[in-house]
Amino acid sequence: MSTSSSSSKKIVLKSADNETFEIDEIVALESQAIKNMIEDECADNVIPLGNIDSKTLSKIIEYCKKHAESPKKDDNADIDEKAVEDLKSFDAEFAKVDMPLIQDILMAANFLNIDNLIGLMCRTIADRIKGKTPEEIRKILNINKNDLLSPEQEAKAREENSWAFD
Amino acid sequence: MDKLPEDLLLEILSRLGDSADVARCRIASKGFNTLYPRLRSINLQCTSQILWNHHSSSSFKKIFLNLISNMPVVESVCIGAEKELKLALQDVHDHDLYLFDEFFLEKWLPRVSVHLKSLSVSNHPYQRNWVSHVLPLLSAYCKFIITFITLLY
Repeated sequence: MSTSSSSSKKIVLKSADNETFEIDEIVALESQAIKNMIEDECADNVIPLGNIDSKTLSKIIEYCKKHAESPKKDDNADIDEKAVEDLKSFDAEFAKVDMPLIQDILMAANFLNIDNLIGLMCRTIADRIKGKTPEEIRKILNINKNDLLSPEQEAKAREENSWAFD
Repeated sequence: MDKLPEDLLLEILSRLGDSADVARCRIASKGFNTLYPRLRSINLQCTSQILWNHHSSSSFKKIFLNLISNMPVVESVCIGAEKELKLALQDVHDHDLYLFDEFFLEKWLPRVSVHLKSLSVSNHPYQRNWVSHVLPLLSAYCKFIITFITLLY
């Protein structure tokens, strides 16, 4: 396991609220953005992540650790099904958090360029709004006033899309 | 939600899969309403709601044509009828669900064919003899189509 090897290279991440997280390089490489920094030799000391708070960052690290430990599909064409299932159930558990945190994780994953995590969060949000009415969607996503259609636009959109309602 | 950049909002919309879910998101937020034309797939299934509660001004075909006319790049089209409806429809001759109607196809297929990779149609069983006019249309327009599925119900 990567977490137990003390000889491997470490990377230190610093959250917006100044908490530091020391992680193995292999875990950090799950982020394409950090990978690029390491390859460009810009990651010698601490990597400051001024737009990610510690709560979000620790979730992201939890995700990257698990995915770094799991066998990669392209390494081995026939990795055992158990590993795939294990990762799937990890992802399902991982996504069981409230919507504000999901959106924070999604923003951070986008910034750090972690493709799988972006996909997981977008899928989770989509699953939560499937089959819901516009009013329910607004509540679930906490859509604020500035992002509502004007009354005229809404009336037009409702008419155009009346087939999608019961 | 307002923090999310456009490409992420689009990613969420594209994972909904069903065009009815997209339609409800359009009403929920300005962001979704502005972005939906950038989606590249349509999955519209006729429901009993569409079939029975709407007059000819918003038939299944019209709803589909309206949706697709707003989307500049379309890679995947999946149209048909919901499972529950399929059973009921076996006794109904509804031309609105004769999806291999060449006048209907001519209205949208030429415009989207350049990017179209996947076309899935579950057609009404009473529409017969469509092969002779549909296949020439497809081969004339859709050079890049990879998947073509047709189901009868």
